[in-house]
Amino acid sequence: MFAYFYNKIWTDIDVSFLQLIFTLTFITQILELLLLIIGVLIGVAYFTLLERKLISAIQRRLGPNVVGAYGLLQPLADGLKFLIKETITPTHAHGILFIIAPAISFILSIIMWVVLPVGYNVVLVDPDLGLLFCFCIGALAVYGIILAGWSSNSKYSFLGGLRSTAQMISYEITIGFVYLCVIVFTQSLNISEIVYIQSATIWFCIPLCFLAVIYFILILAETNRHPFDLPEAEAELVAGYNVEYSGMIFALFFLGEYSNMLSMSSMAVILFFGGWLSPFGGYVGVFTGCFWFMLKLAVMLFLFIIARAAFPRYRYDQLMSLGWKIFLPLTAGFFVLEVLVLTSLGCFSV
Amino acid sequence: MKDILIDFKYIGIFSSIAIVLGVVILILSYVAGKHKRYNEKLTGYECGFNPFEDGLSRVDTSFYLVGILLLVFDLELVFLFPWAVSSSATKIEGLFGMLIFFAIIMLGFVYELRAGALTWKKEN
Repeated sequence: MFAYFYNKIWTDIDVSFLQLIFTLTFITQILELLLLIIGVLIGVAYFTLLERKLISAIQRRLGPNVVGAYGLLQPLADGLKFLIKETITPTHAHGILFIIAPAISFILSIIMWVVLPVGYNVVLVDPDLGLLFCFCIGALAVYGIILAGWSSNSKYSFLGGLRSTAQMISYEITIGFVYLCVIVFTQSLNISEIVYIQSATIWFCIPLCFLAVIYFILILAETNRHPFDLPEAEAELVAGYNVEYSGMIFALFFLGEYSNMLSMSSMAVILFFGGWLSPFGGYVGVFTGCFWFMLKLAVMLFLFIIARAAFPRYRYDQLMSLGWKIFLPLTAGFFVLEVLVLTSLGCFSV
Repeated sequence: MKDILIDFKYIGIFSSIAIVLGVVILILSYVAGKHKRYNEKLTGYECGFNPFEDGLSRVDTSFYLVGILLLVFDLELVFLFPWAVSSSATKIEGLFGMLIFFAIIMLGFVYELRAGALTWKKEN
């Protein structure tokens, strides 16, 4: 068999042509990846603009409106300003760790995107362990924060880093239980498969509506957003783990945090709101799968921003007891309940 | 059955591109910005005072407790994932095995709750 193909390739097809094809596919792959990264970064930039505009509208201000029409060029101006600002490394900081911590945070948040499907077959890689991969990358994100807090060698950043780490790892467990409840339904860790099963049956926000609400609260906590933004409680910790950072290395943290927010919201859309599925069944004209995905994602992000504008901040001990004493028993109990209901419906019987 | 390694090869390429991008931004930040350094600017932030002790001196032990509890529960989760994926294949035996395992962990959780390990210490 192998010899046959070997002969066929080396006799029928010109070798240089074959090499050209290989190079071309490799280049297109690289281009696809770069396009994804650029898309994510532009999305993050304009998410910050949306946030500022929406919050200013809620507070009856104008918001950014000077740079470009309706402030549309504001994110680019911000990026440029970050670039020309001085990057300060304090003398007592632990040199190399101080520098690589924001890079870790940024890189991990970007890597998460490679497995997220935004449309039917619109995904770069679709591994069978996609959900587990996302879970692992989300867990690793703690390292950027704890390293930044520790290596800055300042009281404020250290306390902020510790708080942030404790918060993220507490809520991560609960997020794991939510994933578990979903994959008991789907019997698969493949992310596209989860959406296929929803298209064949029903969006999981209907049988698991309770979990969908909890998952939204959990990703608020996991991405250190209001009302759970204890790590950067301005009144007490100045800015939390990134107090010593400035210029572009601060921007890395910023990009990482917002990109995490976008990817976790995408995850919520995929797990509970049917990913790219249209609520009316078919896809007509411009209303393709990607359109519906983006629409749902935009609704999630609006909720994120409105939560920031509307709620006051939690106290730290309240936050920890909310995670450990309320959400963890609730989701664990829901998991057992779901399994028992499925059993009574005959899903696990012989 | 797809070849799992091909997927992860692609993820590897993507990760290396992300790493290169991160490093490029880091280098840019040190090249593009202006640099005017003096002693005062390079000290740690301390609300205008000189810092009079090392930033990493004392830590509340509650944070370590949370870290240790995370290990237990995260391990439990990782053990439950394979069951959830194969639950329709392992049938009722798998279900009972999972429930017993889950009950033991939850017994530990109730103990922690009663012992007050999950109550954040009030400062007074």
